[in-house]
Amino acid sequence: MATLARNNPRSVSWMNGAGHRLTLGVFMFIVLAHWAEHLVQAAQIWAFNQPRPQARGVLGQFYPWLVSSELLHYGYAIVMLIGLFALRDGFVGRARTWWTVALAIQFWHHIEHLLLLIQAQTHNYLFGAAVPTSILQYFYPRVELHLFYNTIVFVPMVVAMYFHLRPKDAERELTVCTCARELVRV
Amino acid sequence: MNRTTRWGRLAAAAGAVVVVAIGVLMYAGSRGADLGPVYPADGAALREPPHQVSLTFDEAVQPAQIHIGVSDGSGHLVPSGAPVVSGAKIDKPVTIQADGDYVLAYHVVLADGRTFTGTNRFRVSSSIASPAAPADAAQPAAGGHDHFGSDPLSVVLTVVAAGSVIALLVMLIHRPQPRRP
Repeated sequence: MATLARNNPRSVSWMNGAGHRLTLGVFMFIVLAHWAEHLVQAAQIWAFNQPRPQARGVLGQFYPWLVSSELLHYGYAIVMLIGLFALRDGFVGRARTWWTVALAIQFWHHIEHLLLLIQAQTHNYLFGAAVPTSILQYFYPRVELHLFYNTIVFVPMVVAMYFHLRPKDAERELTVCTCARELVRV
Repeated sequence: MNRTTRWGRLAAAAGAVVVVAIGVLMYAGSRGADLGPVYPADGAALREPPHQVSLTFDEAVQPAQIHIGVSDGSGHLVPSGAPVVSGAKIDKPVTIQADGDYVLAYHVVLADGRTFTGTNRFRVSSSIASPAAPADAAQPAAGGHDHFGSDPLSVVLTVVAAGSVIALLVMLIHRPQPRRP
């Protein structure tokens, strides 16, 4: 049995090369922690029947301002955008395609959050609303709009991760990072 | 300048702009209290009439003026009591005895001169089916960030998200070992 680890090294930064496994892991931790908070919030509402104002996830129980801070949510949106952008060069083939889809959707999601943040700070609201309002809410006035955004960003990310961690041989040859398993040929 | 360097500089410049923008917004936002959740939230559908309406700020406030009223579908104000300021919260007792559409209107002037005005429309309907999912926050209140509505789409989205989280966790836990150099 021979173990081959041949690459055709592309010119990428440390973050997308030797450091891709580490930085992608940190990024995934942030993403999963965010989802964990929202899933706990969903469980509090639907499984434990807590009143919505009291359903604040885990951190929100101790720091209630976190739940109502547009700045924090904008901060997460920008972290997502930067992470998707900065780590994209480490992906190749099908994984890169799906990662780019997530990046494109997150770009628009980030614009929406920026508008929400600006409205929250200036108290000038779009469409004459009494609260910060997203552009898409004008066409699709649903409370779960950002749940929808978060989900449609997250799903292509997961698909990208699947292809990134389990690439085809041709994709593996182009990969510079160490995220995928060893290429073992008998 | 190669492609990677150019993108790296662009990313750094974009990051710097964002950091400065956030700093400016944080500075602007540090001027004083900001209005948080308003109850009932705009668009809320309540199974039982609220006994009070409330405005919650992100820090304790000392209002100079408080005008809060709830009117019914024909524009008549419902009976209400005096507003009560308690730290960051302003409560106003109201008496609503019938199902219908209502409008909560508020105008609050804080001691520092900042003014908060707005209207929230809500519905009281005893025929709302799901007591397990009260709609008292069916719409995000000012500055609120409640993603979870009460309709099936929210459930579907949450299930999809939860499934994706589990899939990602499985992938990461059973993560391939690093390739040998």
